[in-house]
Parts: sequence; structure tokens; C-alpha cells
Amino acid sequence: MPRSVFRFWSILIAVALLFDFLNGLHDAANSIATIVSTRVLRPQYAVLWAAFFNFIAFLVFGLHVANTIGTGIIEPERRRCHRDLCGAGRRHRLEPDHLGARDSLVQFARADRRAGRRRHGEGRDFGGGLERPVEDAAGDRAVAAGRIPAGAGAGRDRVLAVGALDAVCGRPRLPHPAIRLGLALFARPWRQRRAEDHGHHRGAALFAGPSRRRISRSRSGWCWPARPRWRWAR
Amino acid sequence: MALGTLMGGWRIVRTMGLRITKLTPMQGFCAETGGAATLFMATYLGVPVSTTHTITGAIVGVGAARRVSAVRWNVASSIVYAWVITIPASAIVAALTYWAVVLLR
Repeated sequence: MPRSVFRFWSILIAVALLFDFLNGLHDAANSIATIVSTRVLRPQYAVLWAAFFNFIAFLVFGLHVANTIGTGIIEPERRRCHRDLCGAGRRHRLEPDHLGARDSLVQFARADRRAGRRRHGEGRDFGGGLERPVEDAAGDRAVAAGRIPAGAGAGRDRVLAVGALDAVCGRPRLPHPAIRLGLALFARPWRQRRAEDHGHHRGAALFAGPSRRRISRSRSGWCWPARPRWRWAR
Repeated sequence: MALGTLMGGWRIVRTMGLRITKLTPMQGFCAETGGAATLFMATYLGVPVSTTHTITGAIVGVGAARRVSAVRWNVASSIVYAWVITIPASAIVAALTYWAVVLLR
């Protein structure tokens, strides 16, 4: 067993024991409250009684509830915390949808390559004739997960290496759900003009602020006819 | 568990046994039996119901069966408010902890 896994499990068991202590403080106290307060049993005996039967009851009644809590609430395939805690790396720095491309040139190239990809679960097909072979898609997924740098493969992918590596190293270290939530809540217009945007990047935009363009315009002192070409703010 | 109860469970014992309604041994027995039966049903269905919820409901029920005004309803309603607040609060705290662990790792 690797050391990190051992540490993970021991921390988990310690937290469970702590939780049991607090649970005794609350729940066992509840269940013996009527006995103690009506003076049927003395507190010490009531506590021993409760502890003994709490310990022994799962042998009799099975683990229905534990199974419900353990597997019913979060779907096992989608549990990310195990993978994250076991040191599988910094995958969550990247959004898999964008394939790690922050540079606009890389984005365009990726968008071109991704045009034929079938979005998972939607069953739709973007841009008809650009279907790609399956092994290409697997390679893309590996790039997005940060396992191999883009450009490790042969052929036209080689050009993309620098931008993708830059994106891998430069991303803020935030968990993936937090990034998704932030993007959904603080959506800005630049998200809707992304190269690979085909609709699903448009979020809830509850707190949609002013566009990036306006902010950086005022910062750089730029006004409309002065500079003909727009450059993205980084 | 026993350690936790011995350390600090007495305030809860007092709230449950004395403050909601005044209990006689017979009423205590009825409350425990009713709570346990509810708990058995929930366990059989696989529903994660807390001992706290069932026992509190049983005590309130026993008190109300004698006389509705025998239950101190402000105590009972404050307990219910605490339950309702607990769920989103603990969800938020757990999410924050998860993110903190992921960041610190």
C-alpha cells in the first residue's frame, strides 16, 4: 500500500472516531435521556447500556442505512475526492472541455480538431464532416487530464505543445467544481465568444459583470478608433 | 461514544428529559418504545433517520397525548428550527472543508 494511501485511510479513521465521540455526545445522550431523567437507571449504567447496544446492533440489523449513505447519495463513478486525495495529480486544474488551451491560437486549433467530437451525453454532432478516429479522442482525453503533454504524439498535434504546457503550469489551483460554479455565477461576455464555444459554455450568469473588454479598455487608455485590432486581455 | 456521552451529554439529557415535557417512567417507556419502532421501520426501509429525531418526536407525542399544553411548544419548535438550519449549514461547512483539503494537499 502506498504511503499516501495509508495516510489517507488513517486520517479517515481518525475523523470517524472523532465523529463517533461527538455522536456519543449528542445521539447517545438523546437515546438515554428519558431513562436517566425519569430515574429508572443511573446515568453510568445507562451510558454503558447505550454504548454496548450501539456497538452490537449492526451485527443484528445489517448495514442498510450505511449502504444508503455510502453509495446512494453520490454516484460512485462521479466521486472525485478519492482520486484527488490519492495524489493522482493536478488534473482538476484543467477544465476538460477546453483541453487546457488558454492561448487563443491553440484554442482555434483545438476548436478545429474538436469540431467533430460528440459531446458526451448529448448525442449531437457538431460540424458534420469532421469526425475523428477513436484513438485520437483518447489521446485528447489524456492531454486534458494532464497525463501527457500535448504534442507528445506525432503529426499535426506537435504544434500545440508549448501552449498546453503553459496552461498546465499556469492555472490557479482550484478544484474543478469550484471553477465550474464560479464560471456559472460570474459569467462574462468573453466566455461566449470563445473559439470553441458551441452553446454549452453559456452559464447562469447570476452576477454577470461588465465585459472584460470594457475593463481593459479603460485600464489601457484605449479608445475606439485609435487601435484597429482588438487583442484579448490576459 | 460512551466517552462522549459521559463528557458532555448531560445538557442534552436535561433538555430532552425535563424541558420538553415532564416525564414519568411510564411515559418514558412509551416514548422509547415508539421511537424505537419508528427507527426500526426507517432502518428496514433504509432511510437514514436520526435517533434524535425519532426520540424527540416520541417525547413530544407522549406529552401531547396526556394534554396538548403539557408540551412546552417553544422548546419543541426551537428544536425543529435547529434541525432545519443544521442541514444546509453542515452542507456548506463540508463543502468548504473539501475545498480546503484539496487546496492544502
